[in-house]
Amino acid sequence: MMQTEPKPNLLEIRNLQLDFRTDEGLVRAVDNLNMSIQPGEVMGLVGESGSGKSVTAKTIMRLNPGNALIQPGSQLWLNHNGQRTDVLGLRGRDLRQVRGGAVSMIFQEPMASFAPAIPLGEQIVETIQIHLGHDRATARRIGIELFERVGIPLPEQRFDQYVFELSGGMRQRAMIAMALSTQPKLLIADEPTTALDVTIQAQVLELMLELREQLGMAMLFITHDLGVISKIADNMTVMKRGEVVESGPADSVLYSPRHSYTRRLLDALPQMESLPEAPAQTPAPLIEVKDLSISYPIAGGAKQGELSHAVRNVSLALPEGQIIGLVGESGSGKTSLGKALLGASPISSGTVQYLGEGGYTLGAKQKAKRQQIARVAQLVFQDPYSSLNPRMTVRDIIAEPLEALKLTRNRKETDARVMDIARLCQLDISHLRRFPHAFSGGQRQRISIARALVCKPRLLIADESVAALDVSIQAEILALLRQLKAELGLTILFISHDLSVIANLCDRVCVMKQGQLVEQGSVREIYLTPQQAYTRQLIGAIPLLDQARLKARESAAVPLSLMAGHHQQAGTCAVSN
Amino acid sequence: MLSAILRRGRNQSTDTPDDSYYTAGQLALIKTRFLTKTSGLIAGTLLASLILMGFFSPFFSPVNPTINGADPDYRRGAPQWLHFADENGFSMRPFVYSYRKDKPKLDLRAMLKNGGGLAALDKLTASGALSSSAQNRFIEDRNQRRYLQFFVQGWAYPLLQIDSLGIDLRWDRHLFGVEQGQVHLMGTDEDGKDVFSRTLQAVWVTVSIAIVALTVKLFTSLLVGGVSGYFGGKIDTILMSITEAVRVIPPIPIYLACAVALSQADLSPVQRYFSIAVVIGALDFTALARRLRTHILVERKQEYVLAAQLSGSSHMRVIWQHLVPSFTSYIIVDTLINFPYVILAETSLSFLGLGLTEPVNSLGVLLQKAQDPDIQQNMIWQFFPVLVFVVLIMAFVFVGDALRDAADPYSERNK
Repeated sequence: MMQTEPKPNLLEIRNLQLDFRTDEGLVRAVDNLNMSIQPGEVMGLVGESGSGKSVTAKTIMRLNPGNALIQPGSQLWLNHNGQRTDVLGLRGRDLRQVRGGAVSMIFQEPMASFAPAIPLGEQIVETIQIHLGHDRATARRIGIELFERVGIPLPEQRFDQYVFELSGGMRQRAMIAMALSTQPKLLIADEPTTALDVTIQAQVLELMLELREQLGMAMLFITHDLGVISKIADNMTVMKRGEVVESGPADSVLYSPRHSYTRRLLDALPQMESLPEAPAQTPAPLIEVKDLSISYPIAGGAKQGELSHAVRNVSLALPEGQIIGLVGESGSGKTSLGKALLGASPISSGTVQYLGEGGYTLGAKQKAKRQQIARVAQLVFQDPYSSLNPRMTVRDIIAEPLEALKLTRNRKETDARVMDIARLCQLDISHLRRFPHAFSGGQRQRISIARALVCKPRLLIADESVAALDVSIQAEILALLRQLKAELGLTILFISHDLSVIANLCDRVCVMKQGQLVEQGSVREIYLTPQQAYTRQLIGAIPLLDQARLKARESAAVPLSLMAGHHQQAGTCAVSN
Repeated sequence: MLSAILRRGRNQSTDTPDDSYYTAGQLALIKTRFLTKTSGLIAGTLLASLILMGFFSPFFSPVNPTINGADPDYRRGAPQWLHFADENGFSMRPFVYSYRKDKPKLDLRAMLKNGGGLAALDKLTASGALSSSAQNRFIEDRNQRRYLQFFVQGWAYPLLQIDSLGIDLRWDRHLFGVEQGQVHLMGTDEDGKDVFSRTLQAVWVTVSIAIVALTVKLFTSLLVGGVSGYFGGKIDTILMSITEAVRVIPPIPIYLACAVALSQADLSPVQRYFSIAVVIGALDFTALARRLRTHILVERKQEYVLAAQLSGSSHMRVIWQHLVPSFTSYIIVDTLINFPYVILAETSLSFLGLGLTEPVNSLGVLLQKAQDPDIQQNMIWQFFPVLVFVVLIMAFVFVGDALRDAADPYSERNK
């Protein structure tokens, strides 16, 4: 990127300031943002939720909601076809220039972005007709060509299908085809791969790179995953709370980050060279799963009693006092397996046997008492918002298992137990009177963990427990889980689709595919010497930074004191969040 | 938005730790949000004062609204306006004028002189000189002021009356009145009953009927919707088909049938109407029951309910600790929004002559009069209850609207 006299920028954003009008007054969403994108450039925009990155992207297309207020002094210029357009001044039909004309967008959730009751092809044909003025037949031909180009097999048939008939990866490809149909100069991709499984993510990224080379579009790629950025972006901008904290060529930002926030994001990526050592010996199993199958009755199935098999013949032993990762793509049956250990999935054959004190056995016809299970095994949910009752105080939420199981003699004892566990989960005791709405996602997840641990279970099942959290907060929750395991001797089954999280946390890893256990072993075995083809494919698809260059950065030696400093900062941030 | 509050809260709490927002429960949050809605506040104040005035109507009424308080000397009397000043001087204390009845002289002799006969009689009757409004003309005596007095002694009314316990507290003070005679702020009707006092009493009668109807309705819908939603499956199917069946029955014929059936029973008019209110409520449960069922179906799938179950909570505990609180605010709002409809049902029934009838005071009864051409032409002040009715309904609608916006403080929890 060392052009002396650069071509005119395709997009120029100057001093963009954007507020939201809310009941509580103006809330600043984007603060004084400057950014420019050259033709053919891929700009990565990184930041956590609420950092203003999606708002920025929507402002370019003028898709902001009605309560967004763009402050005077903000400038947004688009240089297109030799014309310099003031995007913020566009009205009415002229808006088509930035909505589909020169700019188009790929959304995070393709399922929600297509009209569900109109065939895909119909939607694309309409777009082409409006923007390029072709007749129907030509538009259809172009559309099918596009489908072929984005790698959708049998494009002519797929073209007339509905969005629900396609798999996740195909949907996102169709979305890309639709975005490309107007031949935009700038493609905005808002977390296009976040909702996809790793292997499909890799395919989609490859496709986007390929298309960019062929078509020479510029791209604004929004993501929170630095691994993805390292694969695709030329330049990058890091945002935090509406402000740009760091920007520049992707290489220099990734391999010599200046801002502590960027460094924290980088630390969340798995480092293949420093995977945790496998524990010396494998302890006796706490819970044993034998030939477990789980099937659900199909809703609206043709025949009564028709079943869909979520898990087939899985045998597994969870060694006591370890963190076991359970990895798989969506639909692989990992959540069903996790819930089966708690007796919350319908077991069709096989058994789950809890071997510790107060043990229970679950099987197709054996049902253990819910209260008996609740004493020894608990679940931490994925969504820290819907899993806490908004109408109860934090104290009441945490005390719920104690009160439901009648484990304490009086209120005083309950309070004491709640306070103990809250301290352990690093919650402020004075916050116990508060309601969940006063807390951020990370703190809510701590509350959720405290609730799970208050009755001193031996087994904790964490179902995608950090998937809804931002990267830096993820790291804190993972550290908390590790610490709790050490202090309480917990056995944790950590279910995740995110291989980086598993690599950073677990002692052992189990890989599931389509309801079956494909491979299991220590983290090092699975990540460095995977045996099965599927595992190899999965591991190979993790977007990672270039290891050699990373080493170079390590040897450049980040001063130890600085590292310590930023960890401390992470801690204070969490409290204030 | 929530993060904005948090951010602001944090800024404030740097030196003064203000925990009130964070420790605010559901009701406190609703209150705070409701207080920011100006239209809701105004309507709420209006509504509260109307209902309070209705509830304590004997105290606020200057005149007994029943036939006992009718003023035979001031039938079909126009409203007596409050004055502060006239050509005789200014007064801090408001006053009304006294009046005397204008006795129109019918010169029957003259009629005879002109030949008499039926043609002359026709002419006399057609001239309107014999109509009741011509017979009840009142002339203000501007030299005779009646000053307004506060906390005057008047007719006695029961403050608290429990027959079974033998408690009968009576009082005879009224908020305002005049030194001599009576004051009719909104005029009188054809029997000489005070329109203002009647309206105040009618507000309470109507609202209390609505409360009965809504209580019955709420109970029925909670039972049907709650059972249906929580247990689901076959019970749900059966209950919901019954609900649908009830829903398609047109209400007016049912009310008619009830009115006829009840007329056989020996009931006082008010008792009769309360029974109709019960019928209205019992038949009106369908919409709310269905909505409650849907609400419970959704709420049951929430993860926090599963979390409670996995924590070892029993069914009863889940229902009482988690599900019931989740829809209380919803019920409050729904009830308030439905208030106008029940009042409308009452008024429309009374209007059709099926509900309450004279001499009972209810808004419906008073509104019924608005169709009388005599009143439309000669006693326009009897439209005062219509005005009160419109204000009451609007107030309910605005309060209900504001409450609906404020009632779900967790609607933006995912933002």
